[in-house]
Amino acid sequence: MVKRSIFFIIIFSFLITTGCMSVSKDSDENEQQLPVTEDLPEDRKVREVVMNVTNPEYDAVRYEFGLMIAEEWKKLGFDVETVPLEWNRLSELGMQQKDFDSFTLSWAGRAERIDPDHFIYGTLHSSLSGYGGYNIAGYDSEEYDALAEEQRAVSDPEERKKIVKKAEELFLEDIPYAPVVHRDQIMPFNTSNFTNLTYMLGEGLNSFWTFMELEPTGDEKYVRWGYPSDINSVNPLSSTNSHDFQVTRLIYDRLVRITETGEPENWAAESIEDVNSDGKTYKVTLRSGMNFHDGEPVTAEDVKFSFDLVKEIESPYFMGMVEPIDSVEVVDDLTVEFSLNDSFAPFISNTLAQMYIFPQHYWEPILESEGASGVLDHQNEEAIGSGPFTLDYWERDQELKLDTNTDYFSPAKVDGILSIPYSNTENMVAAVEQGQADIGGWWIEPIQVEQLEEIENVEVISVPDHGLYHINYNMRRMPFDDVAVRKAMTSVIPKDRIIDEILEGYGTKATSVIGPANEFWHSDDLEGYEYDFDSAVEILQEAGYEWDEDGKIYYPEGKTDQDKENGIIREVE
Amino acid sequence: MVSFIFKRLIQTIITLYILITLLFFMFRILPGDPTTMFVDAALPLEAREAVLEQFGLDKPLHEQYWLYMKNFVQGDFGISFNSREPVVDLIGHYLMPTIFLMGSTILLALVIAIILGAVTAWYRGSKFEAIAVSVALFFRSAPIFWIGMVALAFLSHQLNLFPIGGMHEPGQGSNGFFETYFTLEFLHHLILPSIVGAAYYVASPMLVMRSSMIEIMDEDFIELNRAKGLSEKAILFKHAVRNALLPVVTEIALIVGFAIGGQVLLEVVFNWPGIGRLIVDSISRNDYPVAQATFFLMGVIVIFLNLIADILYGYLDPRVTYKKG
Repeated sequence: MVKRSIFFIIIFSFLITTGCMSVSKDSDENEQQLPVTEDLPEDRKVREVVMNVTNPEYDAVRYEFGLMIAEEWKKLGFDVETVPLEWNRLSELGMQQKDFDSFTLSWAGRAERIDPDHFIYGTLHSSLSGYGGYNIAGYDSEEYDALAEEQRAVSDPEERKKIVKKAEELFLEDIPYAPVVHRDQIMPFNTSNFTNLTYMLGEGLNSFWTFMELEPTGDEKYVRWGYPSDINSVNPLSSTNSHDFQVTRLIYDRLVRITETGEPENWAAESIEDVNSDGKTYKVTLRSGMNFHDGEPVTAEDVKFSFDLVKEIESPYFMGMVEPIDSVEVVDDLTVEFSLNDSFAPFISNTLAQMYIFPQHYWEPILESEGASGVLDHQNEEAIGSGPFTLDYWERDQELKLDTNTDYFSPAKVDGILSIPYSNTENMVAAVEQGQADIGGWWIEPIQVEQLEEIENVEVISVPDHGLYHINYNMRRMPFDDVAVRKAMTSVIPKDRIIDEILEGYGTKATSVIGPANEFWHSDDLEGYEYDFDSAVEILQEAGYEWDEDGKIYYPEGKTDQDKENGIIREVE
Repeated sequence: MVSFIFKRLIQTIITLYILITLLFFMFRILPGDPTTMFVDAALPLEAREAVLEQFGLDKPLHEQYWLYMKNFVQGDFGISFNSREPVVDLIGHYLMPTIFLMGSTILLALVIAIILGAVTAWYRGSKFEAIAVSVALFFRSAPIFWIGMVALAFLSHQLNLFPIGGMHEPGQGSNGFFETYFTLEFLHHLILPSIVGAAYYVASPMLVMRSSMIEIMDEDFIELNRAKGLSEKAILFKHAVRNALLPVVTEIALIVGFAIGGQVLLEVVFNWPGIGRLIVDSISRNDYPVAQATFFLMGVIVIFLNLIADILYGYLDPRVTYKKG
C-alpha cells in the first residue's frame, strides 16, 4: 500500500511540474509583440521552411544552436521545421546538391584558411555556387565577385586587407550566410612527461609546432599523441583526410611553414623573391645541406618534380594548390623559379606552405613503370621525406611510430612520436586522464573541462579559433532570396546565449567571416548583427511583410511562393 | 547424405549470389559517396571528380555492377577508396585481433553456458537456478556497449585492474606474430573485453543447454545410472551433460552470427583494432569495396557455419536422417 501511494505521488508531482513548464513556456513565447493585420490573403502566407542540423552525436553544438535559432525564427512568425540529418546525408543535400532551405555548418579553422582567400573567395564567389561548390548559399553578386577577385591579385598585404574589408562589408550588407560563433578549440594534455607546450591557431595541439617544441621532463621521450581515429594512408599523394596530413607533414618537408601566429615563414626555402614585384614570378632558394631520410640530397630538381607530379597524377589534395602555376623551372641545384598564370596573393601561404617536397629518385621510377594510378595506389610504407621525423612503422588502428630525424636542420627535442588512434573521443580523453596518452588531438565538449581540470597532471588548453559556425540560407529559394528576410533572421540569432549556454563561455561571437583569432586579417570595426528582435520586425515591416492574428508571417503584397513546396526560384547549375 | 550435402551447397551458392547483389546496392543507396569526406577537407571540386573517375564511380550503375560481379567471382575485392590498399590486404591487418577476441569470447561463453546450463537444470527449482538464469538474462538484455562502458569505468578507471582498452600498451613496437599474441600483456588486455562479450552471449546457449538437460534427466538411462549406484556428480558430468550437448552444437553457429554484430560494438568500446572498427570506418566513409568485402565475409561465415552445423548434426546424432523434401 505504501509503495503504491509513493508511486502516485511521484506521478502526480511529475504531472504538475510538466504542466507548469508548459505554462511558463507559453507565456515566454507571447512576450514578443508582432503587429497584426487582419484578413490577409492565404496565398501570401510564407511557406514552411526547413532548418537542417547535424544529429547531436556528430556535433552537439551545431544541433543545439540550430534548434535555438529555429525557436527565434518561429517567434518572427516563420513556420520552421528542424530536421536533424546524418552528416553524410547533410553534406550530400546541402553542400553538393544544394537541396536545402537552411542548415548549420562549420568551416574548420585550418592553417590554409588563415589566408582570407578561402572565406572571401572560396565560400562566396559566384563561380562556386554550382553542384559541389562551396558557395553554398548561391550568392551571386557582380560587385562582390569583383572584390573577391581583386583581393587575390594584390600581393601587398596592407592593400589586400583593405579590399578584404570592403568585401566583408558587402557580405554583411547582403548576408548570404549568417556567421554565428567561433568555437574555442579545447584539447586535453597530460603534463606528466612533457613541458613547453605550444599550440596553434586552428590546429590546437595537432600543430606542427607542438611536436617541434615539446621537451621531455623525464625518461619518457616519445610523445603519445591520441586521436579519435586512425589515418587512412601514409601516401599523401592520394590522401584526402585532414588527419593524414597532420601526420605526413611531420615526415615530408615544406618550403614554407605557417607559424603559430599564422604568418608564413621560410622553412626549407632559405629565401623567396618576387622577381618582378608583380606577384607573377617567384624565385625560391633552398636551404643547403638538406637530405631525404635515405641520405639523398634535397635539390631544386626534387621541388620541380613534386609540383609537376601532383599536376600530372591529379593528386586530390595538392592539385588545387598548383593550379595558379604555369611552369616551374630549375635555375641551379638549389634554386627554382615559379611562373604563375596570374598574380595570386595566397601563393606563399596556400601553395608553398602546403605543398610537400617529394623525392624524385623514389617516385619517378614508380610513375614510369606504373603510371599515375600506380603512384596514387602506392602504399608508401617507407614514406621517405625530408621532414623532421622519419616513419618507423604503422600498425593500423594500433599505433604509428615516428622517430626524430637527428640530421634535420632544426631537430625536435623529443625522441619521436607515437600516434595512437582511439575508436572515439571518450576513449581518447580517458587515455589522457589515465596517462596513457600525452596529447588528446580532438576538441572536447565544454562541459568536460571542469571535470578534467580536477585531475592531477591533466591540463586543458583552449585556443580561440578562426573556424566559423554559421547558418546557410539558400538564396535560390523563397523566402531566403529576400535580403530583408536574411537580415531579420540573422538579427535574432542569440549569439550570447549560444556562447553561454552551449559553449559554456568557450567561444567568441562571429561578426563576419574572418574571425578575431585571425589577428592580421580581422577587421574589428565591422558592423555585424547583434540580437535585436525589434529591429528584425522593423526590417521585415519595412520590406512589406505582415502578420496575421496567429503571428504567422505573410509576404509583401504581390509576392507569393511560386513553388509552394520548396520555394525554388533558381536552379542549381 | 551426399545428395543432401549437394543440395545444401547449391542453396548456399544461391544465397551467396543474392548476398553479393544486395551488398552492391545496399551501400550505394546510402547517402553520399566516397568523396563526402572531401567536403570536410574542402578539397577542390576537380579533385572530387578526378577521384570519382579513378574509382570508376562516374560510370552508369549497371556497368559498375557488372564489373563488380566479374571481379567478385574472380576473388578480386578491389582496393579501398580511403587507403588505396587492396581490400584483401587491409582485412588481413585486422583479422587476427578479431579472431583472438571473438574466439576467446565465444569459447568462454560456451564453457560457462554449458556448466551453468547443466547445473541449473540439475538443481531445478532452487534459488541458485533462479539467480543464475536472471543474471544471464540481465546481461543478455543489457546493451553490450553499456556493459562494456560500465566495466571499463569501474574495473579499469576506478580500480585499475585492467587496461583502459587497446591490444597493447602504446610503444610496444611492431612485432612478429608470437610476440604480439602470446604475451601476458596481451592476455591482460584480452580478459576484460572477453568477459564482457561472454556475459552477453552466455544466456542463449545456457538456456538451450538447460532445457536439453531437463529432457535428458527424465530419460530412463539416468534412472538406470542411479540404480547402478553412480554418484550424482558422475551422472551429471559423465552421462547427462554429454548427451545434452547436441542442441548446443547448432547453437554455436547461431552465436557466431550473433557475435559478429556484438563484436563491432565490443571493438569500439574497448578500442580493439579489429574488423569491427574497419566496418564502422568503411561505412561512415562510404568506402564501398571495404564495406562490401567485410559484410561478405560475415555473411559467408554465417552461411557456412549453418551448413556445417546441419551436416555435423547428422554425424553427431545418427538418428537424424536427411529425407527428401
